[in-house]
Amino acid sequence: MNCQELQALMCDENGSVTQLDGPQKAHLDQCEHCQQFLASISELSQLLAEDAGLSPSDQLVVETLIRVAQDKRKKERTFTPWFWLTSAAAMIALAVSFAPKFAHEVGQADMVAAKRDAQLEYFERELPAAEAPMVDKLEADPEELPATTENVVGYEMDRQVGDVLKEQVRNEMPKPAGGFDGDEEQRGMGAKEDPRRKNAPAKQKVGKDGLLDRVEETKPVSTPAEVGLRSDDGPAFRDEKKREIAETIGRVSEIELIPPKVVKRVSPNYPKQAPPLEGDVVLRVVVRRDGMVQVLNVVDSFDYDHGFIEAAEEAVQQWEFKPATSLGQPTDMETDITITFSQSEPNGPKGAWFHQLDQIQGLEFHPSHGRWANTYLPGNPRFRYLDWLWQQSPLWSQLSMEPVVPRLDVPTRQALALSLSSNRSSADGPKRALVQVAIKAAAFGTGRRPPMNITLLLHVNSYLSTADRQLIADVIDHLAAVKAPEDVIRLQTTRDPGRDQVEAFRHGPLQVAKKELLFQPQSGQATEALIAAVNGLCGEASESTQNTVLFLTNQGLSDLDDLCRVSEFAVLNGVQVSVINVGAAYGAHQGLALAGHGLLHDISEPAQARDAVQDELDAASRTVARALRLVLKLAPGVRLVDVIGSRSLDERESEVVAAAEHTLDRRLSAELGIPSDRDQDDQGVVIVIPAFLAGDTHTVLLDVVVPGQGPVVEATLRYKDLIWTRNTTLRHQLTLPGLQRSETPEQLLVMRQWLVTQTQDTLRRAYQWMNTGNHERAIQLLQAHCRLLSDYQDHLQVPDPGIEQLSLTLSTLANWISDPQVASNALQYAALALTQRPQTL
Amino acid sequence: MALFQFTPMESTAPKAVVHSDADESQWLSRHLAGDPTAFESLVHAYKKPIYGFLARCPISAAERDDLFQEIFLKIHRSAHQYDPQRPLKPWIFTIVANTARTYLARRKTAEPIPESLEDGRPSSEQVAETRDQKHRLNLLLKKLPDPQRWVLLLHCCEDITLPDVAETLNMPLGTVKTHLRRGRLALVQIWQRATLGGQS
Repeated sequence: MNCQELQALMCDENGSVTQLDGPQKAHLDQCEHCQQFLASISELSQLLAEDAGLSPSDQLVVETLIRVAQDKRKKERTFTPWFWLTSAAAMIALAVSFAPKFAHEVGQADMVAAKRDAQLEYFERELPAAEAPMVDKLEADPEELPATTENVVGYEMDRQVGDVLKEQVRNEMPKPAGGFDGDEEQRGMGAKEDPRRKNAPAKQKVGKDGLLDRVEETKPVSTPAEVGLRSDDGPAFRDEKKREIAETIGRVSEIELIPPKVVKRVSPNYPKQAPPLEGDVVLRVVVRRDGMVQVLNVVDSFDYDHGFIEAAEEAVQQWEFKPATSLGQPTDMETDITITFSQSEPNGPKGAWFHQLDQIQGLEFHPSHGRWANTYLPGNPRFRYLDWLWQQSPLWSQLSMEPVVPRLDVPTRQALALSLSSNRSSADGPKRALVQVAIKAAAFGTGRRPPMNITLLLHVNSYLSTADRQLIADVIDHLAAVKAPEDVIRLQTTRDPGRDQVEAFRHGPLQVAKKELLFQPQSGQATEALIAAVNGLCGEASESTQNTVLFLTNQGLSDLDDLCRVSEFAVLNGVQVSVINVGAAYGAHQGLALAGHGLLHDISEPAQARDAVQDELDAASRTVARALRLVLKLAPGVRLVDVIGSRSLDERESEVVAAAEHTLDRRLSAELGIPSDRDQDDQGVVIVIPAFLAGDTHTVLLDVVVPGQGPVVEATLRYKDLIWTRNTTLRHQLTLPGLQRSETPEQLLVMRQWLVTQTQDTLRRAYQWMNTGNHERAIQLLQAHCRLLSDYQDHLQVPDPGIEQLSLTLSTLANWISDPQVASNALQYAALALTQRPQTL
Repeated sequence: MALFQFTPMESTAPKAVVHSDADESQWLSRHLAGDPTAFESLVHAYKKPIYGFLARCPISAAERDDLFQEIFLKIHRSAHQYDPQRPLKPWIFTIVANTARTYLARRKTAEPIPESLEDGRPSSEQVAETRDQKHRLNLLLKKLPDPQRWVLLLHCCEDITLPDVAETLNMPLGTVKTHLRRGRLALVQIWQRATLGGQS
């Protein structure tokens, strides 16, 4: 039993502690990780069972009811005139006997008048033009009405009476100034446009400080509302009895509901400490009947941590409204107000964007020691997958994303090179500075492969030809032939993933298993089997540093998406997934191989079977360094603002990283004889990178405040050099002189790297906007960023071609966003492509 | 005690809908019969669950309002198709889920892989900075693949049985169970990352 299996079990439909068997319970008792998982799952189940913490505003609910009522009415009107004629005739015939009794209860005089009006209304509305004389006749001779209209019965009677009362109540209601003429609407004439507030983009106004602010359009909801909205503050009905009856019937009046209108608007102040961000904060407020605003909660926000919500709340609380009215009387009303923070306006915080690099007041600092998250991942699987998708696109040639990497000499006598540089050439007093730490790997790998832990997962159906059967047998034989003593190779099928794992040896069990597996091939659940195989490889018992699943199949994969997700997850857990197609080639399987950070092999002849196995072994030798520990010691007086793009690890995470580092250290010592050297922790900012691939470059940017001239930081990089099989330590120090010096190209490169991180951030935010369907906002964001980049270019004496390339990319992307099919992928791709090098294994 | 079952367990969480099933099942027939209070009752009972459901999908606030109205219009227009012998909630959430699915499918044809799997560090760094857990959970749910999110929302949030969920989403029961397991697994993982990130 390992953690993954137990956790999968916990997430199962019937997952329960009581259903765990002995070994599972024992594992749970001992494993802190699984206990934490259990705690998280309990916490989540509680939260999920609760409501989402959001509810629609009153205004939205009322509008919804209005729409339904209108729809219902519209539907009623779509009946044919013939229907109405028949109905009217039936009603007339039936009402004669029942109406007097009812009329007695509600007041006979009212009833007679009401019924007359109702009939007039129906005839006027429903009768074709040819019937008009009849209406005229009815109107001309009201005395005849009692004899012809006392005919309402049953439900129809209720409906008629409801209409009658509604009509009367409406006539008695005060009409709001500039309001809507309900009579016109009632007769189906004029007012064809839906005056209801549609959730159209709200109008934007530029505030005095240049920020965009916006309020949900509050057009009067002057549609008669045939809803049961009751207001205690409504005007007194002239006849309380009528009101009572109307309410009993349930069709309370048509209510003139007018939402609040803004009379004083205050723009928010851009939070002082906030980075340059753009987005909307949506606040649920009550506009009170005195016109003042009370904020209830936050409906939505683009950011929760930089004071945007507080700034929006502060501004909105100063707004003043003409209150909402219901039945002509002021009333409290819930509504949503959207405040937009933008940096695209001339007086926005644009200037601050660049000047924040000089700002040293009011900053918060991180401790200058502790572990931080690693930001380098060899051959990011997500990027490789996108890269592959992107190459399928006809737009591929138009977007040439060259990764922006620092210029560094390729190391020759060691696996890695280290460099330190800053965006400042000097510091004559307290200054803020960016420090760039760059690591570059040797161009080629070691040519020596580490011990491997391979699972060959067979997903073959019964349409297996003899030749294909032989090819699979060849793959198994080659694996067995190249197997070194320390390698572990297993066979598994998708038919019964839990049971038929066979550890492969050159003789005996393997040959038996091979025959057995291929004798009656039958494929099963590929996804489940892949999960089981991955779990088996990254389990606690594994001592290997190189884990691979070879997914061998002779068929197209229906659950390719699921398999890709499992593969990506496998990569994060140190397991690579390669695909071997036997017989036919399936191009789509490339996605699975890329997601699994592995290779795709199509084999149709025996030589290809051998090559496939050999390629797998060669690929394993591309790692040039392992267990990298980067220690950044800040000089006395230097304070750390941030490690850009990374985050500080908490105590538990630090322990996990330290444990992984020690395990790797121990395994490498056992495998390669490189002495173990990670017994002691170093003081300073520590970042551990598990492995580094040949040809890669990676940068870490520190944001610091220096007290003046002198040493700033000392960077130490310790790693296991796999090329020279030794422990290596590189050390560099950065010192800023006090004397002013002219700008160096190195400084510009640091600035460029910083701009790249900002651009990546912008692309990610644009991607998030795209994902919520707000294309317009995503385009604005990219265009605003383009302008910032061109402003930066204006400051430079010689334009930076790297920045120009960035601007070009962003404007190209902004144009493509109109095509949602490519936009999401393009933005993600671009964000990653800026610093990731495509890994072509 | 099923400690890690997502659904009811010992949750003391108040549910928004407080009414009996018998009442519920009559609302639409009463509405069709012309009782104007019936639909109002339905709206008031379901406004919060439906709005919450939409808030947990990757849909912007303005579009959420539009969809909210559209859903109730559809409920009204399809009222004659409802069989009062069957529970109302799954029927309503079939409309809700279909509307949301259609909307999302129309909006983006290619479903992006959740960002949480993008790289090793918590990609939900913005998420991790949210002020409270409910907001954080709502944001994380938006990041799940669509089928997993539908199953989690219907089964774990709305307490609809798995066979009903299968019928609602027009999926085989086995597939629904798989989505449920994967959804929970993915949610716990990104939750843990985001929570740890938020604490740091």
